[in-house]
Amino acid sequence: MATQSESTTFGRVNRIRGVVFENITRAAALVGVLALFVLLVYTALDAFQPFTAEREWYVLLLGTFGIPALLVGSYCWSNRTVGRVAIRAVGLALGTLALTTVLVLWLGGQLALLVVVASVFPTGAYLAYLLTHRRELSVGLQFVGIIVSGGGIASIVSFFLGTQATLVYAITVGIPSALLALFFLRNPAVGSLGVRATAAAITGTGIAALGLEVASIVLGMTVESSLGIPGESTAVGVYALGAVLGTGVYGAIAVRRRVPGLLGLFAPFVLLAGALAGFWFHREYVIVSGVVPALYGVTVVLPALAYVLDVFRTRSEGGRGLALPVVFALGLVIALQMHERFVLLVPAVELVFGLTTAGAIGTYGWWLSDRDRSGTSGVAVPVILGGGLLAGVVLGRRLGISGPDTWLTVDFLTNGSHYEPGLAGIHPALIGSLYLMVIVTFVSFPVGVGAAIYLEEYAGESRLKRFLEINISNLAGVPSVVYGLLGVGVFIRYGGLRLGAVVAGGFTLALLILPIVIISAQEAIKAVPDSLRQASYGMGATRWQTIRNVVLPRALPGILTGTILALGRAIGETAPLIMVGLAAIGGVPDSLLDQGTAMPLQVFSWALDAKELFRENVAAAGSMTLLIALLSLNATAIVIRNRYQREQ
Amino acid sequence: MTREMACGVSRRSFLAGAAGAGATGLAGCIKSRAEYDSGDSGDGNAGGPLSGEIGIAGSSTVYPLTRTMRVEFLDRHPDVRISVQSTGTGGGFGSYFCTGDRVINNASRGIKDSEREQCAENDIEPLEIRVATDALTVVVNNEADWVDCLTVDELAQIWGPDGADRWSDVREEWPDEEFELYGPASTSGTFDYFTEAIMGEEDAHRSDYSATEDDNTIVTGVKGSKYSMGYFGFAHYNGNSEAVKAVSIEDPETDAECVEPTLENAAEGRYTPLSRPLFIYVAKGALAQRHVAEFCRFYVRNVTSEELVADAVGYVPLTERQQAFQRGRLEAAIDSVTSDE
Repeated sequence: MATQSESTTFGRVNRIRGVVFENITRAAALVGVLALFVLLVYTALDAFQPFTAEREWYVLLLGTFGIPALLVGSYCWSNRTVGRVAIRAVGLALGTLALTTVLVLWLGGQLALLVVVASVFPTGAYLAYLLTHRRELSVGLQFVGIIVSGGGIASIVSFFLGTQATLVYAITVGIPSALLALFFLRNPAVGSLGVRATAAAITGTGIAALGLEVASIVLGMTVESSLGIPGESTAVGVYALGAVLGTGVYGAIAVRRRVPGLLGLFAPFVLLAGALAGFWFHREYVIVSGVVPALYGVTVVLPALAYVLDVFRTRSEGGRGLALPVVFALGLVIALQMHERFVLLVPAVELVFGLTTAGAIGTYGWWLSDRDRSGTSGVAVPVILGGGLLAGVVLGRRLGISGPDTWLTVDFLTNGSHYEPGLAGIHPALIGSLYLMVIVTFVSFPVGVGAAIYLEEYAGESRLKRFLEINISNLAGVPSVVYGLLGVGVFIRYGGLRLGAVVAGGFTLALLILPIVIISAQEAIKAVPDSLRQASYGMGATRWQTIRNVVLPRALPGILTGTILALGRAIGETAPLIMVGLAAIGGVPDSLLDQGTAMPLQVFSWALDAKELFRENVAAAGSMTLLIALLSLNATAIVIRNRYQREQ
Repeated sequence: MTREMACGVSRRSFLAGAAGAGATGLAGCIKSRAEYDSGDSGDGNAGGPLSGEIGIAGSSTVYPLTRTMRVEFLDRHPDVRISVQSTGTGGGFGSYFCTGDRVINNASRGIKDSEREQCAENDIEPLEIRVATDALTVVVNNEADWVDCLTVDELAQIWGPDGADRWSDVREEWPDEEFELYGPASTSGTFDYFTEAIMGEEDAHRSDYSATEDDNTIVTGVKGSKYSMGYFGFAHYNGNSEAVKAVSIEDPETDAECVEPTLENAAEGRYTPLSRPLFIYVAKGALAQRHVAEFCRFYVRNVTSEELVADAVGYVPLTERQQAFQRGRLEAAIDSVTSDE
């Protein structure tokens, strides 16, 4: 009190408040972190049971792992170059181990070994060879891109429409649009008008479809009953009308403004005719055999052939890059065929792990010595650490010294659900979560990044943009249970998926993290300095070229970081999955339409079990598995972000 | 060390060596899959191996039993996929079973008429299979030394609507302290059965108690307070018999004295009125699928198993006579749907 009155004079400033405040903030920071730390330690103790090990075991491990680790660590500390290499090598080894674990759990040890030997290694070696030949590399990657996108789009569309319809539309709509695209590229004026006209036609169709849907809901009946005409034909008629009207409106505007390239107006009609022909054909005829080969023939082989011809015609060099997907696919086929016919009588799992980590570390060391980089001896660090750990464990087992009675064992990762706590495992749930993550990535990444690019690069300062942005940030705060309800309503009751289907869960989680993906991608795009865009425009680049070659490459690490962190949120979500009907106990789904499970559901059901071992230890082991998966995702994000910051 | 290795071996010789070693290695240790499979699993499965999917929802009380049966069944038929969810009996009927989304529902009480109607609207005919007997257990804190036995009337006073607030309201010699009550939520079959058995009518349960879907919350709650009380299925007491104290029940309708909740007492029919049957309900139409029918047969075959029902889960196995009755009904149902085709 007394000091306060004195502090009015200059030179006697009271710092107590400042110091107190600083310490309060420090305490706040510590409370959060410590609470989390204690929670983690508590769970880890339950899962790993470190106190059940004999003391000799720890002494042994100290000898084989602890002391070498200390020595290596101090050496790396004194020699920074080696240290940096060592850190990267350890990271590389851990990453390889994680990826291999996923591969082994997914395919089983046998198939994983075959795939790694026959496909992954040759592909990796070929890729390493291509890395020194830029031209070949870009041709190879483009070729892979064409095959993957062709096959991917065909698979996705046939998932929704069925293989029959997809094949029909691929022929009647897909091939004409490819030809149109070629034509447009040669005649830019016609092309730009054609694309806009097509967009207008699609918008018209969309409005018509929406109107029809709203009308049928409002009228409370289907179109058939109200008009007395077969519903499907009516709907198609309305869609076609929408398309024609859309084209007409756009055409009228184009004619009045005297836009060049009016020929492009025929594009939507070509596509519409194709679509109608496809609809008619699909209604009247059924293709009896060879549907699947034909579909992938049209969507993969045809574009691939066209690209190969193009490469050989226009560019004499770069042809060798074409072998990249061939090597991969051939290896895969060999592996699958071998797996079908033969059984490997070797410890497959151990071999896979050994091969992949040795391959990765070896390649890294090779790469370093190839370029005469210093600090190559750092590559030995993961070998010393891992070898020491392994030696300690193996030696302990040989000498009969029992290690900790841990719950998170290999069996835990490979077993299914069981009523005995000691036999219970998380395998189906782990694979279920993996499938979910794949779906979430494939849905939320393109949609989210697309939306972010539109909002940041194209939308300008329009009202539409503000409206969208407000809604997106509101959606980011919607509780996950609400997304669960939405998932049940949209994907299951309306979309006709079965209750508990893997895709339904994946789509719901994708919607859940979509706002986060959009916002983080927007931030990443915003962070690209405007001067770069201006410079690009100044060089005469178009907006598309600027986005493609300047903005996206710069923003991509940030986008990836944001997306991966969002995936981390999705992998731990429980409530929406319960709503959508995924089960706590289930098998590994055969297809994405089957009943799914996920790790958080399994952990949740263990935590509610009557048996204490389930609640305390098995649930803890499950939580640790989930946490390790989550931390691996976050580590990936951090690695990407750090690389990015170094580059800047 | 690694530097020497990396520099000493040329790329080509390393590749050649690795390929050669790999090839010789592979040639020595592969075996034809047909040979391997035939040598390994020769139990001979007439009519081909079973495959398909079975979706199960419903009661959290029956869930551990169904989980046990699932594991044992999958041991013999690894190609069948069975998913089990714990949704509560009513939740399972309402949102999963009677909508046709799941073919089996676990139930800790009989199906209600309203649920039967909902099923009928979707052309689903539920077939009831009794799978075990449970002894619903009332528990109090370990330090509550004044209470060892409760009559059904006292339970009704405590748990009924406008139930007693203080222990001394029920018996005068009991402490003058407020009750702290923990029980299952109203979606639970355990709640429905308890209400019916003690209060004698549906939904006549007080609502000012801590309701939860998670039986562990009841254990934690009762363990934490001296003046608390709760109830749940016997399996849950079995796993927590150290943490809480089970109360004996005196039923005025039978002349028996206080009867402890034990598996023997429930099996011999002395633990009334809180020993109750547990069921699974199967959509009759689904029995036409071979894997569903086989799973139900397997379930019924094992409901007398001491090892699976009593030891692994903690319920009372059925008697041979009860089993024979369930089997007869199941076989009749399977015959009726398979002969329809």
